This record gives sequence, structure tokens and C-alpha cells, in this order.
Amino acid sequence: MRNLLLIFICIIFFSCSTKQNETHNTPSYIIDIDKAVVEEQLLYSTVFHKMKTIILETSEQCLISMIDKMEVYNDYIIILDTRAAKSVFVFDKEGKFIKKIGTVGAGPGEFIYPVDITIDSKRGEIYILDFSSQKILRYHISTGAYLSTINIHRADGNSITKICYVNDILYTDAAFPNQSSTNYLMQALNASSGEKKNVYFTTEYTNKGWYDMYEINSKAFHHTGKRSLFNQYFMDTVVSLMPQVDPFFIIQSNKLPTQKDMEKFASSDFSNRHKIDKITDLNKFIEYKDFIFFEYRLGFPFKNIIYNKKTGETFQYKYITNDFLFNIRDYTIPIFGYAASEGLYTFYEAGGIDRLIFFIEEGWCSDKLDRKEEILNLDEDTNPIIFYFEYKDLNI
Amino acid sequence: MKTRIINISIFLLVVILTVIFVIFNKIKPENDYLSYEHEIQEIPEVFIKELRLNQINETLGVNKPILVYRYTTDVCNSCLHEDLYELSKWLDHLGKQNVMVLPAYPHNRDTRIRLHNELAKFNYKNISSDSVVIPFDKDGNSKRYFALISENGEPELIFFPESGKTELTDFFLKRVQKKIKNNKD
Repeated sequence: MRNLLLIFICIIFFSCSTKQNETHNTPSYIIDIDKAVVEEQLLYSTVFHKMKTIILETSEQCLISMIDKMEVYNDYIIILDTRAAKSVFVFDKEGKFIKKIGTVGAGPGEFIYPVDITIDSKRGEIYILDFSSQKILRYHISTGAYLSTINIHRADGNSITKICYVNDILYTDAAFPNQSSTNYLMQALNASSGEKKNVYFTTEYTNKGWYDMYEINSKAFHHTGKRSLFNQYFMDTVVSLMPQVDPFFIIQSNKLPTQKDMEKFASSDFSNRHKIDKITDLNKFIEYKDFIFFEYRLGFPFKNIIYNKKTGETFQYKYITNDFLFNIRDYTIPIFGYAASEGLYTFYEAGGIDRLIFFIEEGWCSDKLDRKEEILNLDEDTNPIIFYFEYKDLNI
Repeated sequence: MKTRIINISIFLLVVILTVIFVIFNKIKPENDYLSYEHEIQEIPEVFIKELRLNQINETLGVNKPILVYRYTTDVCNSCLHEDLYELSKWLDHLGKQNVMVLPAYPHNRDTRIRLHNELAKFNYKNISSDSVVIPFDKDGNSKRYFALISENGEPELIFFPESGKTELTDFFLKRVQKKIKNNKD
């Protein structure tokens, strides 16, 4: 009896005192931005061999204000409009409206403020994160049928704004109300029960002198066409979630924020962060063949990087010109939507279409732009236009 | 023997306290309701007058009693959906044609999209705050409200829902249903 008690005490002691240090493999690639070869211009036609214009159907049932997130699954283009419609719309690849998934409301299978979606392509299911209730709702994509609700275990007091499904695991970001050494940037939940399986990038691990201060990225999770990635605003490390959570690449530069910069951030108005000439906000990740493409913010403007995984060479382009759309070097190339394995989906917001019409009327649009006449006839009520660019054999 | 008596006494005391606790909790909503009745008496007369002047049924072109739910962009997202959820639960009992949701949002494309999706279950009309009055609290924030308007444009029941107190909204809507039923009879 005494021995049993001793064993029990030992178990309790070790389970409480064992501190698991977070360890990860070393990143597969180190990208030194300062050593990038600066080139003048990258043409879309260097990378893509054709473009397709997808004019999304416009009707009272499927009016979209903003595309907050786009996913592509089989023949469907799935669009989340977080703010006005608070809805998830499914279109086919010709732009025909198919259905809405879920409805706004507080009842079972309804959501109030859908802030993110993620796809389980194996089962053909979609997960919708309701920020208001901090619940994740699961639906069948083809039928639109509501399947279940996952209640997120929130013992740590964090709230989540982004989700990403990978192999039966739902990865989420984690926003904490207070700074603490126990905070973390990402967690893994069981996709069925919502039970927490693991936490990643604790303050202790990621701490570069700024505690857990980071801004929730507009997109914490990214699809490159080959894998899912995780990255937050101030992270210099881009994490791959496949086959396991490990650093994919790390960036090096003299322009990365230092501890002093972060203290400055912390003590000043956070909205002024763009005024500081530092590298932040890595985004728009694309992977094709041996190349990784991404953008980052240096102060306010975005810069691009193309990294060759095979040779280790890094390139930066002063201009990226969409010569499928324009005859001129235009700075308003369509907005990045979704990187698929076979191509890239971009879009023009409803509010930006009049500008595109102006470009067509001025003769500034390329002959490669199809459906010009239809675009010219669009009115202010129209839904966004999607431009899909298909990769060709890449040889930059 | 003495210990047994003490044990039984403690047991009885616990049972009695439990019964008192349960009864107290059961009558609590009634107490809340009473306080809500009290609140009704404190609704500023000027607001009722303005509501009467607005002749909502004329604005909406109806000549029957109608329950309106009025709110502006000030309302918190979860508060709005809490109210709408309660209202949707009662919609069949009240009759969809007897309920009108009246948001006061700016007239633009985004509002059209928002209302089309948010109020898909209801009859609704986006009308400016000039047409149908919206009261304000001490801090200058607009207050959302339910009002049952008679066929003569007379406000019969008014209720200001509160976040997290859905049982009161539920109670109010039950009263509205009774009133509409009585009016029919």
C-alpha cells in the first residue's frame, strides 16, 4: 500500500514538473533576402501559359461584398465573405453560382461571424469558424448538409481567428488577452472533438525578446499549391504543417525587426507599425517545381522574393507585370486568391471592376484578356471577377 | 443515538436548504419579469409618443397588429443574433406576416448584401431613423427594441432586450403571441 502511494506521488510529481521543451527540426531552407539578385521585371507569361476569366454570377442570392478567403476544391470555387454577406458561397469554375453553405443565425448549424474556412478534401467537407461563438461548424461541400459543431476547448482563455485542416487535425492560431510566457501562436485540435492535441511556438520558443507580441496576420495559414504553411506577422520562420509541424524556411536579413524595434512597437501606436522600415508580414506563398515565391512587407510596400530550392539562388523583381491582363506596367495586378497545384487564382473586387473597365476602354488591356465585351457590360452591382493563371514549365 | 439524531438533523437541514434554493431559482424569472414590467412603466413617455406619431403600420402599409424589431448599426453582433434567434423561434407561432424587422442601416450595396443574408428568415425593411424613432441611452447609444403596434398605430407592448437575458425576450414574445391571438379572437 505504501509503495503504491509512493508510485502515485511520483507520477503526480513528474507529470507536474516535467517541462517539455519545444523542439523542431532545422528549416529546410535559409533565404537571405539581402543577397537576393535584383532583376527589373517578371512577366506573368514567364510563369503561366494561359489565363481564364471567370465572371462570378451575380444574383440576389449570391451577392458578394468582399472575398475574404478563397478555396478551390474539385470543380468548386468556394468564397468566404466575412463582413457583409457573412456567408460561404460555392461557384463552379465557370462562375455559375451553385449554393450557399450554412446560414447566418444563432441556431444549430448557423453561424454569426464566419471568419475562416478550411477544406478536408479527402472527405469533401468544409469547416467554418464562427468567431462569435468560437465554434467550428462542419458541412458537406457537395450537398451543403450541416454535419456537426466542434466546440473549441478554451481553457487557456485564447480565441481563434484562423483554421487549417491537415490530415484529421485542425490547426488554429491563438490570440491571448494578456501577455504570458505560456502563450503560444498555434495549436492542433482533434478535428472531430475539438480537443487540444498540441501547442506550438510558445513564447519561450519563439521569443526573440518581444514576449508574445505579434499581430494576427490577415492570413496565418497559407496554401502554396504543394503544402500548408503557418506564419504570423513578426515571424521570420515559415512553418510547414505537412508531413509534420516543422520550419520550412527561415529568412535572414539585416532588416528583420530587432528587440529594440519590438520595444518601440510595444510602446507606440501599433497601427504605425508600417512606418518602421522592417521586414514583416510574409504572405502570398506559391510553390511550383523548384521555386518558392512569397511577398513581404518592408515598412509599408510589399516586396517579392523568388527562391530556387535546387540552386539556393534568391531573386527579387522590381516589377511584376501581368501581361495577360495589361499592355502597361500596372501596379494593381489582381488580388492573390488561391495557389492551386496547377495554377493561381486571383481576383478583382467588385469595387475595382470599374477601374478594369476604364483600362479596357483606354486600350491598356492585353489582347490575351478574354471576355472583354462582357466585362465592359458589367455594372456596379456585379460580383468580383476571378482570373485564373495556369502554370507552364517554369524556367526563370 | 445522539450522533444519529445529529446526522438526521443535518440531513434534513440540507434537504430543506436545497428545496428553498430550487424554489428561489424557479421564481427568479418571475421576479425578473416583474422588474421588466417595472421597466415598462419607466419607458419615457416621449418615446411612446414618438412611436405613436410614427404610425409604423402606415409606414409599412399594413392595417393589422404588427410586431416590429428595430435596431441600428450600433447593436453588437452577438446581441443582434441573440434577439433574431429568439424571434426566429417564435416566428411560426407569431406568423411571419405579423413580424417586421426594421434595421436602420445606410443604403448601399453592402447593406443590401448583409440584410439579404442576415434576415433571410424574416420580412424586413431598411428604414432610416427619421421614419421610425430609435431611443438612445444615457451614453448616446441607440437602444434596440421590440414593439407590438396595434392596427391603429398604437404601441401596445414595448420591450428593450438585454444581452444574455434571452429568457426575458422569450417571455415577451410569448406575451406578444397571446396578444395577437386575443386580437384575432
